[in-house]
Amino acid sequence: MNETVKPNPITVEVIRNSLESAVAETGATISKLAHSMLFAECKDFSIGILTADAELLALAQYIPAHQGGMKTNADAILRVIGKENLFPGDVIMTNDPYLGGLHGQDLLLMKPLFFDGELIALAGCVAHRTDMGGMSPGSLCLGATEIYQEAIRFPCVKLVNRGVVNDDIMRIYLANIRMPQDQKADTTAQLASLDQCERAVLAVVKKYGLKTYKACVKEILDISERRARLEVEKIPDGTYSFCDYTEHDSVEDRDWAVRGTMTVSGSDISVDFTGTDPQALSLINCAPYSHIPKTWQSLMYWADPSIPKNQGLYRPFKSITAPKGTIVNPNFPAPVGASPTDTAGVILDAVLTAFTKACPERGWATWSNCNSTTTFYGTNPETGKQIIYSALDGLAIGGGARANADGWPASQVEASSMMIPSIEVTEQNVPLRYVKREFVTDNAGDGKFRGGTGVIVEYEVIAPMTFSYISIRNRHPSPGAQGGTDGGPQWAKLVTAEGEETALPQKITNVKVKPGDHIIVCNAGGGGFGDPKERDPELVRRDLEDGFISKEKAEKVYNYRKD
Amino acid sequence: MNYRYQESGAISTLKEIVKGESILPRKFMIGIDVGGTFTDGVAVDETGKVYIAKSSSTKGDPTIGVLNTLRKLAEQSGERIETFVPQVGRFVYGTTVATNALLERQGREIALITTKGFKDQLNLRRIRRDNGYDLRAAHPEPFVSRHHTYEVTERVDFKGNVLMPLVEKDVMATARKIEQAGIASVAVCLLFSFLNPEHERKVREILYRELPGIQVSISSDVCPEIREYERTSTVAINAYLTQTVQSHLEKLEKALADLGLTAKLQIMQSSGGVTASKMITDRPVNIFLSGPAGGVVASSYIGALDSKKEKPNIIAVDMGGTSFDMTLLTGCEIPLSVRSVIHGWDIIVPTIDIQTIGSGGGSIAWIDAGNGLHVGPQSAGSTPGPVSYMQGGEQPTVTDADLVMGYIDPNYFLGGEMILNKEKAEEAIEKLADQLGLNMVEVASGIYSIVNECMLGGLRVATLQRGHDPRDYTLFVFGGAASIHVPDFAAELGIHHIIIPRDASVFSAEGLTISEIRFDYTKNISRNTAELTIEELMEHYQELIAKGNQDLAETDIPEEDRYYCLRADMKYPGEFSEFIIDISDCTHSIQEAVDCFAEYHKAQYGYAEDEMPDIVNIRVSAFGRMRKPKFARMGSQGKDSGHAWKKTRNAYFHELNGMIETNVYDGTRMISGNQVSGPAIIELPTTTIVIRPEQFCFVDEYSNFNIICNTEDRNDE
Repeated sequence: MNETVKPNPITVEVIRNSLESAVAETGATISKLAHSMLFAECKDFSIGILTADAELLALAQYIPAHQGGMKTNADAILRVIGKENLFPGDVIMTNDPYLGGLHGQDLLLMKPLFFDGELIALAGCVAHRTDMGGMSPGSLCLGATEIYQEAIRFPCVKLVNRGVVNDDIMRIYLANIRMPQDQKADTTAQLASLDQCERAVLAVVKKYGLKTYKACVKEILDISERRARLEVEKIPDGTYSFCDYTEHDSVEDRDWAVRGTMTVSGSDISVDFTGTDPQALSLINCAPYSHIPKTWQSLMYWADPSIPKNQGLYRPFKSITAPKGTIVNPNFPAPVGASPTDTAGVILDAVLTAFTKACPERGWATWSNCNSTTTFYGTNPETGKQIIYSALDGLAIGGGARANADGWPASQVEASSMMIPSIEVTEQNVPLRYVKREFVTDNAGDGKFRGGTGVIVEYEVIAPMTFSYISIRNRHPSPGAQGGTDGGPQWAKLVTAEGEETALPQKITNVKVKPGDHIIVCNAGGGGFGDPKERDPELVRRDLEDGFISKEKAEKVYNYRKD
Repeated sequence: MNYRYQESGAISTLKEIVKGESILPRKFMIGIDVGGTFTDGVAVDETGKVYIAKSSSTKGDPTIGVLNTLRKLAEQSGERIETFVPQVGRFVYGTTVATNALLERQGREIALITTKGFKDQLNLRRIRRDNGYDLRAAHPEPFVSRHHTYEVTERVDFKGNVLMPLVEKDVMATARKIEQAGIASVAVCLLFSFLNPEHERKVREILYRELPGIQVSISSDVCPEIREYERTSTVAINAYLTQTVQSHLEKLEKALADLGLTAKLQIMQSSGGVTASKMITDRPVNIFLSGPAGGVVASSYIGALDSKKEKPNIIAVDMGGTSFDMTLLTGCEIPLSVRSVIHGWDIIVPTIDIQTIGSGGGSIAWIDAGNGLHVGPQSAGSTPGPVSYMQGGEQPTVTDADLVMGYIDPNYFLGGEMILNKEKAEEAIEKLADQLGLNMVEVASGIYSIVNECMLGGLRVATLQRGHDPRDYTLFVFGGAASIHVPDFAAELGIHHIIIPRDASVFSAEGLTISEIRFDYTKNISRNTAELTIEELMEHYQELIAKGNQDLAETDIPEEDRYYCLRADMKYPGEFSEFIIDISDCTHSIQEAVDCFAEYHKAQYGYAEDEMPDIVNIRVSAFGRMRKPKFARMGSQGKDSGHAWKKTRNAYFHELNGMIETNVYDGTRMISGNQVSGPAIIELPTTTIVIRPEQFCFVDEYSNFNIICNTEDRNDE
């Protein structure tokens, strides 16, 4: 076949889908083998295949920020190690936020794939690990003012060298993290998934031949770019501003603005974060590379969802400017442990509001990416084993109302492959008992279309434990759009066995709890869209009947009168 | 006792059984399959002769359609229905009644009872969104409204111990509310009921007492497995379907009994195995995919008939009036899953992995505000049906377009039994053509191409998106309209070979006659193998086997035809997902089962752990062997099809840009070895095959039609 001949479109589709299903199936493997609930029940991990030049190629439905971060990580691997020093059987381990990662808790293992001695692709598996060391279990180190106090960093090191596990690295790793045994099993699962991914990719290359494979890969990226540019052309040319806030960095209780503009010109987009507040002292800073994939993602969510997700989709971004020393691009050695659900989440929320400003008829009110995280640590009285458990019930956030529909009841945008834990599975593994997990009346933003309703969760503590809680969207809940009101705030409180009630700040750690204490966590409601007075009275009646809104709200906000 | 059984190997092991002395039907084996548009019937007599019949489905009361089809089968076999029915030795029924009830929300409102604090499981769906990247997607409305979800105070812990006894007055109060709301079916799912079902049973008992005649589905009966959301979804679907399915089956059984049927009515389940009708009345969720299952069973069986050849990879596609179903049978194996998401709903009962899109012969063509032509998703179904049926349909459908294009002979529809009105179809399509400023035949061809594109997209998802290369598969095409459409686009997927069974339009009904009896049971034991003796384990299995034994006995399966498959959901301590392991052959010692798991883990994932694994659930599938019809085989009788030539007719081929005088062949006269080159049309009484230009068709030794497509070669160097 001649290089210049366009590949057969069926073959392009076959190869694209084979790679994506390799990615999907690899994920099924890791979630079956892993020993932590974060992997297995909640699926806080992602797989991706990148080209030999570190362009995103096949992603399937995982966590888009993880995958975008995989690209900035892979760039660092090629920069730090160099293509010429990668060999078949190598696996690179990296989690350094200053080398492309999202935060130290996300451990990326990346395997270079070779065919006939030629580097043809990079397969990556990144997982939010139960613990990566540092001064707090779970590695969310509240109060940290330098990254040295957070997760131990592996700056693109070879965990596996030509098929042989580097025992020195493994020992350093296991010596610096909590619960090394389970974590070793999770690492094994990550390695197994990469092997599986490698087999699948090489089978595809073998079946179609390297030349055809390469031609198809180029076409796969080009198709996504063409389709993405058509979508950008639909947005009126102009400059659209955005502004949203992050709160409480665990040292200072104040707000930081994420400000900027999005400029659309033809099929190009430029985003500029000039005007954003200076960096924070503690862990809510956005990891220095994260603003790039977070900005990319805004287009991914805005554009036709059927466009294959790969680097081509992001090519319309002509420039992304983030001034150094701001909360979206901090200077070393600022801590960044809470980046994904704090400032990085706000970046995505904020940039998306600019799209809705540009095209309100296709837009939506804010559906926040900033979920709260409650992490428990202690000893399981049943097994005597140490536990570190991140309760991901915080993901059940009310969706933003859309231009023509109510918001999704409760879900999370970014964590599109993640699920809230099964109550029964959790109780079998962690000394917690759920008292409730249900929707909160009047928690949604009001509008012609109302936001989704966030979820409230109440846990009863069964054995002595310690917990931490991190959150934002309390003073600045999910904004409404086009006349809709903001969603309900996120908050948490502790009620002791003796009945003493304490409201918790947005960041708190090392809270000791005993059997009989209750912890109550309420998630954000989605923003409303359009004027509430225009809401169909029949929808108001149903919301009232179903208990999503109260009688008072129906009457006051929606002018509802029961006939 | 024989435990040996391979999952989804039911069909391949059956060949040996054909000779076996199993229950002998008296004379006829009947399969009746109710689809969205037609009710299909197959009768096989003791010599292996096959009779087929078809009549319109009667949506309001499907029994009428069943009896109409039965009457036709009787006539075909030279009997009257009164003399025919008493001679039936086996009667298997497949039905879409459950699917339709859920998809079209036909069922009456139900109530759901949950543990206090946990009423929103169904709405939350554990926050899963089917397309995570589509933030504009509609939320699937749950079929139990929040105000009919009631909470009761009670709590069982993760070991099955009662923390808080059930507050009975909560249940009584709920009963009053249910009564006031006029609700007749209730689903109950309480936390940890798979470990301790007492509270669920008590709730049911109180509801029975307080509300005579109420239907109650409890999760510990329907699907006693861990994970509260998945269990709630399954039991709620069960409750939702109960009334519709029950009243339908009662009516049907009575009608058949009145006609003198002595054989017990059997129903196809989603698992591809059949069961006695009475076993389904409180487990309607098990027949959620009853309709399409028969065709999959038949594809698997027929695909593997030639024992000399390697078992082929098959994509079974069924195009009916309202839907297009696709199933991938790699190596002829029926793909089964214990956790499925069907039409967006989670179900944890064994189910064939069938994918469906809403395109069919009844799909309606319409024009949007911007003058764009669309087909579906609305369907005219069987009532009012396509315009040409003259039953009141006014909007043109895919079938009308097929008629206008000359593919269907208006005087030979259902073998001439139903006369279609071509002029009416033309008028209806003409209206669209006027709006679009095109000529009528062009619009008909546009409708044809659009619906084909939808089906092509569905097949892409079913194959490519799951990592299967469609070029490695043979298409099995059945259902009335499929062979008019599928040959047009198979080549675009690179599919080379299409098989159209001779009885394509009633293939699902045919599958019913070759299916086996199957029951599935699950029990949660949650034990580590280090502290479990083989005696204890087998005691648990014996409990389920005893249930199977009893159910098989009640289905009149003699002991020698009963066999069991034993499986265990196993995992290493620390792992959160269970792997389903067939341990039918590993029941001599615990170590044997442990090794069996370790081997599987190693083979699949490259390693096994050192620890002793846990067994979470145990599963028993109980099978009853049934006698299979024999299929005649014939050597080649020569290529020439001249004897089957009927006439020529003008038909539209977009490849040739116009109406072409096309040869029409009588398919009933084509025999093994005969060939026809496209463009051509082959007519059978209930099936029409359109062979595209550059394709050719031959009849194989089992009398099935095979189309060979001209596909471009791969880009292999």
